[in-house]
Amino acid sequence: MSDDESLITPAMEAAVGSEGEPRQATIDKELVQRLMVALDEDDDELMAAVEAGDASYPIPTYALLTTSTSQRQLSVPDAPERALMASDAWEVKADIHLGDTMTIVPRIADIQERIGGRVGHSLFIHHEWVYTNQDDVEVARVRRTVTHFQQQHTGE
Amino acid sequence: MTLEYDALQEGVELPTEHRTPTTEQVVAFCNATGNQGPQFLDPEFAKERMGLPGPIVPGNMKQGFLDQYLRRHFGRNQITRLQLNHRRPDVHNVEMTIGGEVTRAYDADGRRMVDLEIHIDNPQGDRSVRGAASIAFD
Repeated sequence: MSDDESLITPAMEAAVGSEGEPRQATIDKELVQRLMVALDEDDDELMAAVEAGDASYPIPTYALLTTSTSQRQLSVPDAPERALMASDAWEVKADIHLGDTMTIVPRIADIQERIGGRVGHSLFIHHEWVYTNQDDVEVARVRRTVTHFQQQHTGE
Repeated sequence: MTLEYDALQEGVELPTEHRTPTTEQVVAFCNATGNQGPQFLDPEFAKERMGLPGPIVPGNMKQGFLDQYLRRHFGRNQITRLQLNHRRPDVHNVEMTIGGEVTRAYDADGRRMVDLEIHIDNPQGDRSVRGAASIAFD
């Protein structure tokens, strides 16, 4: 495929704006603890609150990462298989607690095309997820851009 | 040490800190988040298939490090926005330098707010993550 030929297919265009099925995930104490170990967390007060299962203690936004399997990225038809995360934007609107049950709604927000750069001719696919807790409060809005590319990364 | 709002104005630099995510940590992170992307875990896939220098640190893990960094310096004040642009991959077992700078301190709807530029640099001094954050002070 030449650089002049668009990577955006009609099926891709049709996918923009589509929403996936809402999925639910609970902020699980054990997963949060495992994540804290992986991140080498050193906040003693936080670790004690999580160990005690204190559901009133606000925990870090990164706890939402334990719901990643429910924050499934919608697949975009015809997108090149090679992909890397280009950007991530978290807008946090309310506290997060152990035991919160989040409803996560995914959406394909936009697709853009780029010629040149470290990965050559590529697509920027913008995904969005809205997290709402069990009290119907919007807790966070996550916007992620994933670069899909055909040639190999330059490694830089 | 937690930074106080009154000491923050445009241009104030945040302390730098260093993190070296090990392969063991990356594996633990991927297991805790259910993200088993082979580019994070499989050296052959990362090099041969992706053209990367080796298995890389997940972008979300770097987000976690920046979240920790901000809480370390801003305590229990709320991080209302955390935005990361991933400019270069970081590979396992290589030191990352995390830093930032105040870009704005202001009042918004009765809340004291600070906007920040935050970043992660690799040992060559190249910026692997360029980001921004906002903190709402209690």
